[in-house]
Amino acid sequence: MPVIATGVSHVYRRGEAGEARARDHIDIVIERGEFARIAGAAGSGKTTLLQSLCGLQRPTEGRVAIDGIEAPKARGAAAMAIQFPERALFADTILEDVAFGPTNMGLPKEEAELCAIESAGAVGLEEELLARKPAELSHGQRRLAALAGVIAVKPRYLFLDEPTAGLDPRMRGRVIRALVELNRAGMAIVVASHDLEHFLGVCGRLIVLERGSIAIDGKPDELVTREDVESLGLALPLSIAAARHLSRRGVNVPWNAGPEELAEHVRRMEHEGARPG
Amino acid sequence: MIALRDVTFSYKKGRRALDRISLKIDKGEHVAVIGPNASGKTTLAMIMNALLVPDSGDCIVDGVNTRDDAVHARKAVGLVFQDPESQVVARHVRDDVAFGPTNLGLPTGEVEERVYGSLGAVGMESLVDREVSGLSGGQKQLLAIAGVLAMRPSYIVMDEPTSLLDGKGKETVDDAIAGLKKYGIGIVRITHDMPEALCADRAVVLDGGRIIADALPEMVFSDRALLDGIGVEPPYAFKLMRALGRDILTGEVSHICR
Amino acid sequence: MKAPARVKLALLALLSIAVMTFPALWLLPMAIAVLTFIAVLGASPVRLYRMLLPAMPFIVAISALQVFLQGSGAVIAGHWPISVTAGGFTIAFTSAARITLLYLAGSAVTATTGENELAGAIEGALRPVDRLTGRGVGRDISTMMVLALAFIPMVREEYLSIKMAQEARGVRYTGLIDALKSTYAIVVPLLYSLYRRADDIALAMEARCYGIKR
Repeated sequence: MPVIATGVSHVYRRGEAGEARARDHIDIVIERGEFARIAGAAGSGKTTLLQSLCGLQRPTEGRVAIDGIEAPKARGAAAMAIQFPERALFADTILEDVAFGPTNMGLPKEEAELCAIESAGAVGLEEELLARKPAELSHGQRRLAALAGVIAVKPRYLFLDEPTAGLDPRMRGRVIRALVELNRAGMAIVVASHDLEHFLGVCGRLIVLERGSIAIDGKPDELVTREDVESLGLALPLSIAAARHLSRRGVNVPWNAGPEELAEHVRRMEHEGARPG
Repeated sequence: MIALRDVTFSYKKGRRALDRISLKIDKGEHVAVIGPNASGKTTLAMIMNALLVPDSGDCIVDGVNTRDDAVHARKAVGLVFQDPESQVVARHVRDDVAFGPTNLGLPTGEVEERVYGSLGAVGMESLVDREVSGLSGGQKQLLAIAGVLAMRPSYIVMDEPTSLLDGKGKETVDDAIAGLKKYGIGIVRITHDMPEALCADRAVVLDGGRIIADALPEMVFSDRALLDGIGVEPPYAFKLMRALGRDILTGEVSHICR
Repeated sequence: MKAPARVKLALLALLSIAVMTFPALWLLPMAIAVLTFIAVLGASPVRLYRMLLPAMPFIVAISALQVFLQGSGAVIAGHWPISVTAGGFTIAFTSAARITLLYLAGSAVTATTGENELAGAIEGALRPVDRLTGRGVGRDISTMMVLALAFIPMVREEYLSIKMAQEARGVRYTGLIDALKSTYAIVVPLLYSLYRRADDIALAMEARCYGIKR
């Protein structure tokens, strides 16, 4: 019983330029336990789609149902982490902040705190940080804390908007690992990210938006074979760009080829006289 | 040349942000600075631009010690911050770029000239009368760069200029930065983006306030132990180079280092 | 009208004094004066309307208070000092009108003048003060103005995004305690981020040599 969005579209005012259609009648199904990624250039509607899917925003047209229940009422089943979620930390201690969600859902204090401790563990946030004030944590730790707060309500579907933006490589790795763990435990995860490189190995499904509609919805290897990828405004990771280049010359390389494998193919190509030019 | 000699700096809380740093940056060089968060990278940037003065040691910009004359360093070393939103000081593009030169007390005519010149250098002349709020993230960052260029610095230090931008924005800014090389401006680029670091002339690695490496990017990326220590993976491009046994990338992959 | 900002500001100052001090009988001619001013400046009515909208709740609230707290004539309801009188309505209406006219006139000036121009004009006007006190207060004030203008849309965006984040965590506004807690959860991070932004902008300004000519 997945998240089903039918005929969803969203129109919003863009300043004085008049209305702009952020999404164009999109139909999407997010299955339980999936790990999907939504990519697309800025302004392609990623954020608004995410917000509609998790019930935070009412689409202008169409309906969203989460596990059979109409979206806005399906509290707790779907949760969302906005961009730079650490900006919303407010409580006196991290524990209190993470417990905020469960408390709002009606849980008594002790239970809410237990949920909070559990979530913190699930994202890999060190337990001793729970007693500290948000201002005392590093930027990356605050990001993890905010994520813990989002999943504290134990949602079945988790939507994240650019969860790794602005993080250093180490922290990026921690966040991605946390998401993988959560997914393994059964949470469906949908990430909107322009960071193609780092989520590539991890997401089973790739959805690419272009100016409000779905351009690609499938496996990552479509990026290698499809003709129109350049026009989508994505920053392709090197392995994919190289694989595309080679496939155009008739050499088929998997989209997730490691550097050695790629090098093999390049050498072979050069040997056979077709220079990788 | 920007010369840092044994620079040490601590914030009020007592945390030692920089510990006996010595570094030289020449005009026309392109230096990447990498390292984990809280390793002192931002502090380093602010020392070079004389927003901060070392507790001990010296920062000497083109022969002038920042302790004696901070303004000289600020004119010579431009600083671009990470968050494009936090650098906007006016509503219109023109006024924002004019901010720096106006502060320098230049006559209106010269300010106009510089505004057009710097916007041209980053490819944004056509946007001169636009409102800043209508710009994309990448454009706002270019605006910040133009604003700094308008002060005609000899060096530009950029603190993670593309980390908050999407793919398109990154490309736009990267192109502009590559274009700056021809003006002979020394560029110091603090980054978490390893492929970017690969394109630099030199890579400086900071950790815990100390410089633990200062060498060609290829050499830094070859040092597995070093990279593990700071939690960094060498970029794919580098691994490919290694697998191919080449020093320079050719063909389809050469376009990443314009 | 491409008049120098100084002229516009001077006219605005005169208009403002008139609007606020002239007796209520002069309301109509003052309104005409303000509308002429706006027309001459060339400000777009649509834009002014949009600028006025966010201020309306405040204008209404202030006037409503006046209905209760100020009065003259027969008491319609309530008891001194909180009473509703016919005179009170008139006073409230007049004060609302004055504030609205003031607001429109001011908005017209800001809508038709570039930031730096305005800033320069204010700086120029305050220069005698600077000479007296010996500090660059004029430039600081005009810069503050410009920054405030740039800041406001940012504040709104940040507010909306924090609000959404907390709503996503089940924040509710029903019931007094919940509403208070929710407000706290929105206002605290908002203030924190505003302070941080302000700090960052100050740094960026210093880096671009603000204030070196003192």
